[in-house]
Amino acid sequence: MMDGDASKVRKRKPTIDIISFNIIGRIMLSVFSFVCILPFWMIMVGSITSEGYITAHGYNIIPVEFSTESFRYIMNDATGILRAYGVTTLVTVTGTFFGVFINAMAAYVLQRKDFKYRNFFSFYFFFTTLFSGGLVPWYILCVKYLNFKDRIYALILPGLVSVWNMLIIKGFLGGIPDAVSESAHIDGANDFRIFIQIIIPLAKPVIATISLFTALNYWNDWYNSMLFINNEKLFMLQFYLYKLIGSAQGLQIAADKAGVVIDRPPIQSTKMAMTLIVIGPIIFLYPFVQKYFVKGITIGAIKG
Amino acid sequence: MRKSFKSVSSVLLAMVLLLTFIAGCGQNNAPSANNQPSAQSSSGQASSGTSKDQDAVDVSKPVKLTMLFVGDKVADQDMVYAEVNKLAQEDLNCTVTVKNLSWADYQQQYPLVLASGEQLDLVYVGEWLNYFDHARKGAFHEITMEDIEKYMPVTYKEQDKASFEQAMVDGKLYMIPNYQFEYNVYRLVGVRMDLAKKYGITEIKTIEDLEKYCEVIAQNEKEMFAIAHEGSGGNDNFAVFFRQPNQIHMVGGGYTVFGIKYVNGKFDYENLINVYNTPEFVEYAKMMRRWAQKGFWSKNAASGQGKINDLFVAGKSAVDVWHIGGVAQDIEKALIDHPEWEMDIIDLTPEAFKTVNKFTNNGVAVSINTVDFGRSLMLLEKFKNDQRYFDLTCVGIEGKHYIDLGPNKFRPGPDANNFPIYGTSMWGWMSEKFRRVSETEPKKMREYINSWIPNVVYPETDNFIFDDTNVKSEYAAVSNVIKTYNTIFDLGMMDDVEGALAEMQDKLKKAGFDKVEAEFRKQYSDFIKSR
Amino acid sequence: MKGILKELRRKKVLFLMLTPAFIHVLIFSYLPMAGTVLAFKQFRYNLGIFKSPWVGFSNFRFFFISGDALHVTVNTLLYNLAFIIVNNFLEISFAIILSELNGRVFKKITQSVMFLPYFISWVIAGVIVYSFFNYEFGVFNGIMKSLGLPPVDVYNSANWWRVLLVFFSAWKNVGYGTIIYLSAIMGIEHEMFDAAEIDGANLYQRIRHIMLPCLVPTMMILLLLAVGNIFRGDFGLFYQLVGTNPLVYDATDIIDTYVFRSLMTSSDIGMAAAAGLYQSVMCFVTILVVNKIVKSVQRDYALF
Repeated sequence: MMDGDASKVRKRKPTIDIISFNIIGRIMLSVFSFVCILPFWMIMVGSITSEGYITAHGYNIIPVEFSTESFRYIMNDATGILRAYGVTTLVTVTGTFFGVFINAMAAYVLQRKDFKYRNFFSFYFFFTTLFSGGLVPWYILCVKYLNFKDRIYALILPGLVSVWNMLIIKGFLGGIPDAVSESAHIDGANDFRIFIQIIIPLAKPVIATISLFTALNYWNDWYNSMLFINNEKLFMLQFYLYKLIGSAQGLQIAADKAGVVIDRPPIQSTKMAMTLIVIGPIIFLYPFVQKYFVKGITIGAIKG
Repeated sequence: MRKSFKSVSSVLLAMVLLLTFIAGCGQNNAPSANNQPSAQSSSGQASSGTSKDQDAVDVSKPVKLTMLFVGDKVADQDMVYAEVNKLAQEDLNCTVTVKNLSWADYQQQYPLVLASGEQLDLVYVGEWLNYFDHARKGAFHEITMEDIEKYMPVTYKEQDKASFEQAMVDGKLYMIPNYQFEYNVYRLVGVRMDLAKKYGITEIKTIEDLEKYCEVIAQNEKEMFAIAHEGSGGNDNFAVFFRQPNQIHMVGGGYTVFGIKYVNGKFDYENLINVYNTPEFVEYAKMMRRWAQKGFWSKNAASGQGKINDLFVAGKSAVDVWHIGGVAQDIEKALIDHPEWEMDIIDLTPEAFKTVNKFTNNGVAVSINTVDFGRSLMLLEKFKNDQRYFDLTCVGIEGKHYIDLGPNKFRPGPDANNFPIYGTSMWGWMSEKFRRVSETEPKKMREYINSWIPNVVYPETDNFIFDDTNVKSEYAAVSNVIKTYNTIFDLGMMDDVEGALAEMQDKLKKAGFDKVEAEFRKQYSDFIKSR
Repeated sequence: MKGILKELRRKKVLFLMLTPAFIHVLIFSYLPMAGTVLAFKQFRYNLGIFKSPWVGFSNFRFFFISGDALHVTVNTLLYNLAFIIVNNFLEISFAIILSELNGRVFKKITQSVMFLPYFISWVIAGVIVYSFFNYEFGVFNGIMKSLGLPPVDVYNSANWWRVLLVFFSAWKNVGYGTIIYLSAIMGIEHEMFDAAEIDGANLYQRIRHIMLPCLVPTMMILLLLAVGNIFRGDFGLFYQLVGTNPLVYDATDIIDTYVFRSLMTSSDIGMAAAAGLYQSVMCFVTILVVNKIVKSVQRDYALF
């Protein structure tokens, strides 16, 4: 049997199965990628198109009537946006680190076959994805009893536990043979040490995946900012930009009501630019994270 | 991953909801003839003779109030309210913090904030914000006429009691309505006359004239629509081409199907009609269908998210439909970029009656969770009747946001964009007394309004709001049906108009319309009898 | 009771590891669940949730009274089924392709691009799609006309929407979901794969007999999690993309949009809560049944 060391680059003979696979695969990926990037392209074009053109003609594939007014309008408030970036980064990093840790830890417990009450607790967690009191009781709890108003922990705490993520991790951890834990037990390690020193390294792909999902969730969140934060120094990025648009729209309403003809802010193109600003950092960082997900991009097996 | 239970409404869903709101609000107008801008003493005290002096109210305890606004915070809001608080601290030993709800999600946030039990004192309210519904469900503190007399003496003296009657729920008052005279229920059209001339049309006076004009546009101008409705813009069709020509006034608020006719100079209160059952409506629906087929607006108008006003200004619509202020504004905007266009404002139904907006369109209520009921009202009194407070909250800081050109006049200042005039929610205490009119206001607008003022009528049914408590479920289901078919008829989306009407009747019946109608008629006749 | 105390003592560390997630869920999910009673109450602001009067099932009536309840429920169910099937099929296919394809750069780029739609909100997507598909001036019909073909009225066509809704759900979610399957593939032991290759299995056979079976556990988890939400729709997708077009409601109306429109005039908290409870109960019953079926076939795949 061949040595399973994947660090040896394998040369493949171009057999018919591989060739056909590559052709079909490339076609499918290309088509889907095209479909994914086309709207994104239109957004990019929209962000540098003049507002007047967008109102009159909608969004186009080819840039017509070039204008940077949307970015200028956003950059008017560069300090605010940078601060929002800062808050968002802090919240994302903290939330992701603790969140993934808590979720993974719970997931490990839930898949331990020798844990008698694992089904009970699995159901305990899963039940919350089925039933909810709704927005009103949740809001009352957070605002009245947990003092969430204008506090940064209001942005971090709610998203720490995600049952969806927990159950996915649980599923993956189930693939790790019990023998691994058992032999460590025999060697005298307690469950927590086993979890930290053995399980996590073995589960790197799923931990990386869930970390990515958690981080993105925090990064994109605007809802908690809207509900709990009144102080614009604490806004998360997505919400900060929504407010920018919102106050621009408010300007328009006000001007219409008051009979004043004012400089109309470029709302449509700004919405497009806003999308780009939020995605921006992700696009830069993602290639570094990508290697955890796509086999063959990294040399060296993750699985030790 | 999904946030399963989070908001049903998306961010920026406001675009659609906003259109509804904007359609219902409107432009200011020239102050009516018998206004006196008066200088107020700092305590807003009426002259002696009233038994309850505001001076007698104890303000020794400092109070921090919270005020709820609908609309995002504008750039200089904090700056302006810091100035307001300086005055309020001196006059009333209180300060106020403003809480803003974003346009993006106010529909869901507003009831949420009311329900949360957090401290709120002054709350911006309006009929369009479901004031009546929230009041019935106990969200607001009752305000008696004695309260107004005690805490808001100038308002008590000067504001017409009729405005309070409009805001009453089961005989009790829960808000202080604004006191401005807006004429924006009425819809007019703005027309590109340069295009009319191009095709040999010299004048447009009637709906038939407009149709001929639009036909010509639709056939020859392929880069624009004749009437570029999008989204909920079809509402305006209902106003201009059905309600106004047939002199019908809608009754009851919400998605109502009931109205009364204006015949021989008065309202026919005794005959409440279901407008969808009238032959006039069938004619209207057929006309809209005809127009849709002729391509006056997009086939996909119902799904679009733009606004006809923006499209008109951008040159994609030959016709604009809105209230007088809106149309006048749009024309001004368009002329800035395209001075070569010739525009005209046309009232297609000059003999139709003109009404004043309900005072309950904007107002302020006091939340049930207030920390100081009296102080809240007193602060509101300042906003309404003390020129310093009014100017600050409505127009901004003198020299910065506006230039004072004398009583009731102004010019936008250098930082006008940071605190837009009449920006957000201060419409709640708007009044004609101190309202400042911009020198850039379109002249035509004032001409029209001045011509209407002598003949304005006051339908008494504006005081009647349907209470759906007993038929809550049916009313929700019925509203859904009405909303659906409104879009179909207003935008001419179905060929077989009679068939669609029959369908609608059928669906209404299933939704329990008979029960709603019975309840509605009962409440209405009680109202008419008690007049 | 005695049993759980015994287990608590023996597996102390495991219980401790479970505690953070347990408490979080208790506070943020179970406490607000008490608010479910709102569905049975006439909420009054001055009385709060617990003192407001009971009204039995009357809050549910508005949904059932018109006779449309069954129709929109079935729509919700069918669309979700379509989404589950199509999305998972694409995700698995792309994951396999991405793991076995030659061409590092191509894979890196397409995998990143596939992820982009996740960042585009439905509001923005709706605007772009309208620019693309509207009858008179859309890009799509522009292309049709230049090819000499008659323009298509996409927005008013129920059949187009049935396809487009599935298409756009895939567009938004597949990039995200593919990552989960990718990390599952990462976990497959290389030795098995290489051994099969030596034994003469071609690529397709390796995929079919090794990869796919190894992906089944992940598939099952995602499937069950999706079934737990099968009566809840993606509101943004259905509302922002389709718009309020009554002509296609038959085909595009789901529970969420129908309820939203019904409650627009009366912001009745109780009725909204009732609609949510209806969806929760339907999901609950479904997942109980499905989980039981899965459990009877293969114990390990069940969620609880």
